Amino acid sequence: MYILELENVSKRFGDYQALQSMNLGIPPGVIFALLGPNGAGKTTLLRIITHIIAADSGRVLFEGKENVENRIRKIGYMPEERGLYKKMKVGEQLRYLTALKLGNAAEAKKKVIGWLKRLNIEDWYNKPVSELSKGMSQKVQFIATVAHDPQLIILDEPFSGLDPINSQLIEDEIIALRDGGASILFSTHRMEQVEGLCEEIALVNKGRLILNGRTKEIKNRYKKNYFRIGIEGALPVIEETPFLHLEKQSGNELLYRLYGDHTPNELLRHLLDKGVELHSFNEVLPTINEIFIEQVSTRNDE
Amino acid sequence: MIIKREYLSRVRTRTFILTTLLAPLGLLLLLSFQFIVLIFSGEDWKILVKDESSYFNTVNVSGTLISKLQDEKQLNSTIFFKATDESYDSLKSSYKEKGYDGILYIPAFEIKDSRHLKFELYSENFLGVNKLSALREKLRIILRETRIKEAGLPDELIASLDKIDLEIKEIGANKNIAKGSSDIAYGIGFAMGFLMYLVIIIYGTSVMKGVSEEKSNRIVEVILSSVKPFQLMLGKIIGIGLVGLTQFIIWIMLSAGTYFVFMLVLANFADLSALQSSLPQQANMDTQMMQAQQMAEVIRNFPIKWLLLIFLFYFLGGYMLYASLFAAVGALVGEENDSQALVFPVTLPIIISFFMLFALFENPSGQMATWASILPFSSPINMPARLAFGFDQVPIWQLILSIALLILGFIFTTWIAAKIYRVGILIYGKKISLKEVGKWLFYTH
Repeated sequence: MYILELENVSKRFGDYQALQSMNLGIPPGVIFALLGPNGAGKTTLLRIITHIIAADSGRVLFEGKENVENRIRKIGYMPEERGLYKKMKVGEQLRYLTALKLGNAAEAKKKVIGWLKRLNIEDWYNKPVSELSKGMSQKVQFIATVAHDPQLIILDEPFSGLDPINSQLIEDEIIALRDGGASILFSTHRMEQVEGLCEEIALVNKGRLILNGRTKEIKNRYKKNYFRIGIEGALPVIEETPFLHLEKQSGNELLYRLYGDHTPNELLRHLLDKGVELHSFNEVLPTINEIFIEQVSTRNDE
Repeated sequence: MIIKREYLSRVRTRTFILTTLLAPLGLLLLLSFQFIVLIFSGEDWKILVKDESSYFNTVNVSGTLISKLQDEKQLNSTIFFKATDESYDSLKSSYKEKGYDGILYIPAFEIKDSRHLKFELYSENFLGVNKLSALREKLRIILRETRIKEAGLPDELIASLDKIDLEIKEIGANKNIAKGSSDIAYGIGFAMGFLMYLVIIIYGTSVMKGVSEEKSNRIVEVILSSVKPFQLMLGKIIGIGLVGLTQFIIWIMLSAGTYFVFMLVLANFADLSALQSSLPQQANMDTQMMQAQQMAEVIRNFPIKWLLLIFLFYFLGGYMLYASLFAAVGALVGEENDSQALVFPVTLPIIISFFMLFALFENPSGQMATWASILPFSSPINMPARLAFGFDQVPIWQLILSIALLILGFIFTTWIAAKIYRVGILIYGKKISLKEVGKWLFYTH
């Protein structure tokens, strides 16, 4: 059972096809990354999910149903370009935004105060937003996104324009929310940055879904059997075998590629037989970035 | 939506309170300033009159001519005149010691055939434009009388020349409503038209600013993930409209209060000066009082309640009509600087309707006025003004048509604005051509 499902969602802007029959499922309790270059349609997709714009065709199911009210109520959304009313006070602002979601001012107030306490920033309650630093308003924006206890939290490019400390802060919060049982869907075009964080990914390019699945599986599926070997001392001459190819050598590091059904053990045995003094041995999995580039280029060739 | 409404009005509280309280306060200040100027600008002047022509010292129908000049009351200040025989040159050095402020020197002249006369007012200070012209007029009248007398007309005839007091009373053909005097209708009509014009522009722009602020600081996306664009737009328009209404009501109450207090002070002051002044002034005061009473009577007979209701309706209708257009413009611009070009097509009809108001005053039942008060883009400014000339001035079908068109008009503009708003609010960075906006109107969802 998915918390969110997209079925054949398409969207055009005039002559421009922003999304082409997109199918996607997000399970509960995962960190899900929507990856793709700029202009791939990530924001459009997120806006359709958050009901800011309507899809031309296709269905959006939340908890298996097409109920829009429920969906709006249980989704928290933080857009790429963050913004708050500058003149409003932090507390008022959060209460307003949360009340819009909940439709209940008293409950909103309670939740907002709870969150401010949780992040130890209760004393900001009466501060106008214009007096906050960028990092501080980041926190406020984050509370605005999650204060109504959403089941699905959608973050559009949450890391763009952040310094490493704030990036880390967002990352920690994402993990904490996942541990709290919610699903997190975020988009980014900086694929290398999020590899460690996301459990599932979907690759999007030019409005189409290219790849979708668990990060580890995808990496394994597209691995090329590269192995990085660190050695000590001089490298003896090793003749090539049909199953083994030395791709690169730089100093004491060798990069081999294995072909066929041969196991890494065979590679090691082969090297040891030649009297190589081994220091380290790693399998090199492709980065998401590499997979993406490969996929996009092979598709373009078709 | 309801929350937002309340909210927006609260958001604006600080500036709101300031403007609400300061505007009438400013008005009060202005009024009292005028009042104060009235009281203090007028110092009494004592002027010695050296008359070499002797026309002003001779005995006339009503005493010496100089006594006619006596106690010329002008804007709360009095000019006292005193004739003298001393030579002009010696007076120049001694008038101050004698306690006078200046010398009026009248050279010898022949009354029958002098066309251009030159008198001199010798003083250290300036008399001021108003008093000077009043003085000149007074002297001119005396000379005129004298010249007529010289021509041989009997005194009674001369005296009767000044006894004509004419008033033209307009009488309405319709018996239901006492017809107000045109002057007051004009005043009230203009005040309403102008107020409407101001209010639509002020609150319209504040809607526009609010929308483009939301757009440029991107909070709109967050809000739109909770509510529909149409709800947001309407919520904003209604919210600000309510702010306007509240402000309005407070203004009306405050100005009524201010007016009351002002009148009270004025009445007290009038009593005081009436006690101090002499009899002829008392008479003068009486006519003034009578005029004031007449005016009050006309105002009282005015169908204020109805007019206020109509005014409020047209305020709401006109505001809704234009505010939604302003909202659409706000959604298009985002950044403040390029808004001017797009605002213009919206403000233009407001300004045009304001100028139509002048045509309306020329002829309240003319064709121009009729159309201006029926068409929805100009009716909010023109219809209440037209009604100020009397409800019988406007055929009932015109009023109903005007109201119906206004309602249709604002539904129509709100519908169009909602379409533009929905697309425009999420578009950043690029300039939007009017052609594209036209295309949006036909988007189905």
